[in-house]
Amino acid sequence: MKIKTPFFLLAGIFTASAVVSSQDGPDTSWQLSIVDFDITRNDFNFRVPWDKRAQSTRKLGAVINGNEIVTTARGLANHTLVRLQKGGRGRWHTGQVEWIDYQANLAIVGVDDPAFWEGTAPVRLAKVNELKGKLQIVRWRSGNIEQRAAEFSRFTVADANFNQAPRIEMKASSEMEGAGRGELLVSGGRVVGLVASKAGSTCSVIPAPFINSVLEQRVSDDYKGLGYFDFIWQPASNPATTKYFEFSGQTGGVLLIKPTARPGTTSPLKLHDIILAVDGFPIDIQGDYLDPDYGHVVMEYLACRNKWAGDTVQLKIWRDGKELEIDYVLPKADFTSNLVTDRPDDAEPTYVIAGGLVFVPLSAEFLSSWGTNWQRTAPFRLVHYNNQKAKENQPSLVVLSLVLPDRYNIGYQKRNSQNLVIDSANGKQISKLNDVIEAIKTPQDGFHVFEFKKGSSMEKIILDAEAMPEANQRIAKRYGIARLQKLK
Amino acid sequence: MRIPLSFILFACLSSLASAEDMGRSVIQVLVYSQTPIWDAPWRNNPVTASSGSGFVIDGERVMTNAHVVSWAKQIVLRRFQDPRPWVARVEYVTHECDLAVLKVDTPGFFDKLEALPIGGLPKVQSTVATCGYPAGGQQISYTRGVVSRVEMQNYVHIGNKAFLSVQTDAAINPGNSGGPVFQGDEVVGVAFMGTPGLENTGFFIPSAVINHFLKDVSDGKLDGFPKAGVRIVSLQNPAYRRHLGLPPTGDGARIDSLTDQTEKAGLLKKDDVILAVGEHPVGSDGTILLEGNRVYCTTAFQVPQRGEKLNLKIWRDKKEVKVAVPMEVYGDEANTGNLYDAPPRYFVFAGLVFTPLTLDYVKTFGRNWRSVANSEMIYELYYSRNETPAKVRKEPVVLASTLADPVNADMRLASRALIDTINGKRIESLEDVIAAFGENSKPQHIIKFASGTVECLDKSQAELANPKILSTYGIQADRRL
Repeated sequence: MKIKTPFFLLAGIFTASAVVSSQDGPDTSWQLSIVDFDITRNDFNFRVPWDKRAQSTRKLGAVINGNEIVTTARGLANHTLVRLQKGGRGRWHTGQVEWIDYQANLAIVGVDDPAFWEGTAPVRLAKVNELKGKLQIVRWRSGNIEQRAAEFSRFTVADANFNQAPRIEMKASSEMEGAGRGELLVSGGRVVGLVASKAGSTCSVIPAPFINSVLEQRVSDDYKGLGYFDFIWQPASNPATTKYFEFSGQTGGVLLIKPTARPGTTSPLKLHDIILAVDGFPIDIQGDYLDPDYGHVVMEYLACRNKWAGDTVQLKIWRDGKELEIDYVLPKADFTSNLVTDRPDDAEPTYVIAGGLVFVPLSAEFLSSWGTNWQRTAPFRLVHYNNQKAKENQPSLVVLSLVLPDRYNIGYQKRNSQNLVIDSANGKQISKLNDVIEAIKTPQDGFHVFEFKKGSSMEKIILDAEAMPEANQRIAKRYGIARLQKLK
Repeated sequence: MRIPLSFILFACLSSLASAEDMGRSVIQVLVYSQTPIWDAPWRNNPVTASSGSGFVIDGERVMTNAHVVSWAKQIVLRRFQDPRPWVARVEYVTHECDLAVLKVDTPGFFDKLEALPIGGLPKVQSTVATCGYPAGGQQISYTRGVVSRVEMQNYVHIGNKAFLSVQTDAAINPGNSGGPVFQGDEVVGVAFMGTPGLENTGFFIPSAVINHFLKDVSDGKLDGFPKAGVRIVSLQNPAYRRHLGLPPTGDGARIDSLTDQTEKAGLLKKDDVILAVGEHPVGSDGTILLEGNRVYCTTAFQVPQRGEKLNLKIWRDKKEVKVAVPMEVYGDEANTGNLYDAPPRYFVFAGLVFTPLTLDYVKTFGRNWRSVANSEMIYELYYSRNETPAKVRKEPVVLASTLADPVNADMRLASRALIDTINGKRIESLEDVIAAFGENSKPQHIIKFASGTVECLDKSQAELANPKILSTYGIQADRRL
């Protein structure tokens, strides 16, 4: 993304005084720094992938140096219009998302109209040693600043929903209703973090030092994104287990049970290696280490503690009865190549409709369309693929998600023809939607033959090849579908 | 959802001239039963009392539902207007179609009791009468209704099988399970389940299923219902029909997939179109016409006894062929249905409780077990057999729980996990677990779970701790095989 470097310096000088003046006492007025967002976005239904529904979302952000606003990435996906309001009232200005990282859950938003920035004051992000003071959550509410007390609970490392991208989070309790939309958690005139979500009375807050480190990387024009550990481990807390693997060192470490979760990659790690230390931090038998900033947190955070995708971390491991030092290059937190693809970006749903058969990629977004409890409510067989590794000849999967009833596809309209993973079409292995399109170009003796995974509730569907184009047109018209296919 | 009518009794039809006489042959079945605790398999739940109904059939026997007498510790019968208790025993029970035959060893029970004749399939809208002892009442009760429909239904007692079933609107009251359903002077079914939330909806087991069971056990042993091992789907898409060389509309349903055994037998193939089962032509939706009712064709597959051949007319390779399929009974899906009467198998070693993966075990996760049990278990139980038959385990085993003791206290994964290997041996049965621990020559035992997690036990300490743990937790035997 383009970064406004010239403005950055000027605005930095201008706003420095505003920040200093805001340090005078605990009654810092946040009204110059908190911005209201009104976001219009396309809310896609990945089970009806051609359908778009405009959705309006409200959230908050904070003015930072350089005439920019930092907020959480959540709620900005598929936005079509971003409007911002300063001071809790008055005119709304159109903004644009200048940079966004869904893994880090951070976004930078700009406003072109210079009038917007008049009278605003950038916030100062708290340093690590400034995180646990008297905490308050601040936001605009009905044109007034609302400020509620919050209480620090702990630091933790959270996984994303589908993948293992680590994010450091501060947990703080507060009674502020409906928080979790980018409110500011503040202390002593500094922003301690942005409230990313709230469950019960517990707020998950992105801590200011993490925000700072990401923003600094971004400004450096060398932002590589977050890295992560792609291996899976278990605590090595059972002495009998460590003895079995002939570990005779000091108690500690974790036992590797999957050296890599990424398809088609090799790892310097081996099954049942014991990881003893990462970048010099000893790992305890629970898999935690003592972070100088955040206390005891799980070792996953060492993948992004001053490290970025592509950086190397040094692992001290135990293998075959001896200690070894190995270099581990952090993969980017990018899960687009998972068997169940995860694309936390602004991509619209993709699909192919052939003769009323709606094919979609088996993706995190598709499974999420069953709701936040998708692991329990989506069809079991589809969910179970999320635990399985991709195969070389089929790195991703395509699902027949539903059948749009038409006389052409009669006989395939019952529930046993829905949510089936396709194995091949016209004899060609199917991994991507493009494969479906290509396969349809070469019917077999006048028929399209779709075969689904062994064990599916319907293993084969056959359609008339010659009649498909006409059926497609009829189906598109009847169901009001503008395009019968949408690919990347 | 449907429930067995453990306590349900239909009342008898007043239009039957002989209703009162026939009611004399209707028996009250009083049962004390005790079910096992599937995740602590050496223990049992408290003894409970329940009652159902039954009726006298040929051979001085009493027919009732299997679910009335499941897990029975004592069965007592009461005759019509007779205060004396008569102790009975189960002669044969088939849980798959929820029927049982009881015997009474004490002479005199069958005196003046006439065996009720078993008739045919009643017609839809015809009147039927039921009688029995609802709600555990002492007096016989009679009700009347009509046959609402006849179709295949999932039998909830077993949970994983469907048989022909007759729906009636006769009032259903708790307590009449196992009671007869009359039409004229014949029994046309055995009342067995209802549907909570739906009014006037009860089900009875028709005579075809009853007679299959009685014929099956007539040689002194229960074989069960054989199956063809095929999944039949409708064949209504004109293109698919044309692809197979059939006219765009017409009869015949398609074999979409086969079980591993059927595939190996080679008699039936994918894309075979079943044109007729026995004498019944098969419609393109997979149904046959059975005495005026369109029912799914698997009804006809359930007619032969084990070892008998089922004649199929099949469309294959664009011509008609006749295939006589020997019908076989497969027990490989038993663990996916509810299990009865046989206490769970288990093996306890060093406090680790191993038991087979069964539906009854996963139900210990609670009412929402499908969403609570870990996915490796659900996959192994319900999907691996169809998807990867070559890798399927004969009897998957789980670590059900761990009885805390210093020898196992450091294990983090201590319960509710599917076992992959123990000491490198792939676990295909409980006997494999025992062998794997017994044959290990290393100083530690290593258990690998299906999730990839591993846990170890010190071998010598485990041997020493085993008797103490059994004693501490009051386990009489370390195994039940």
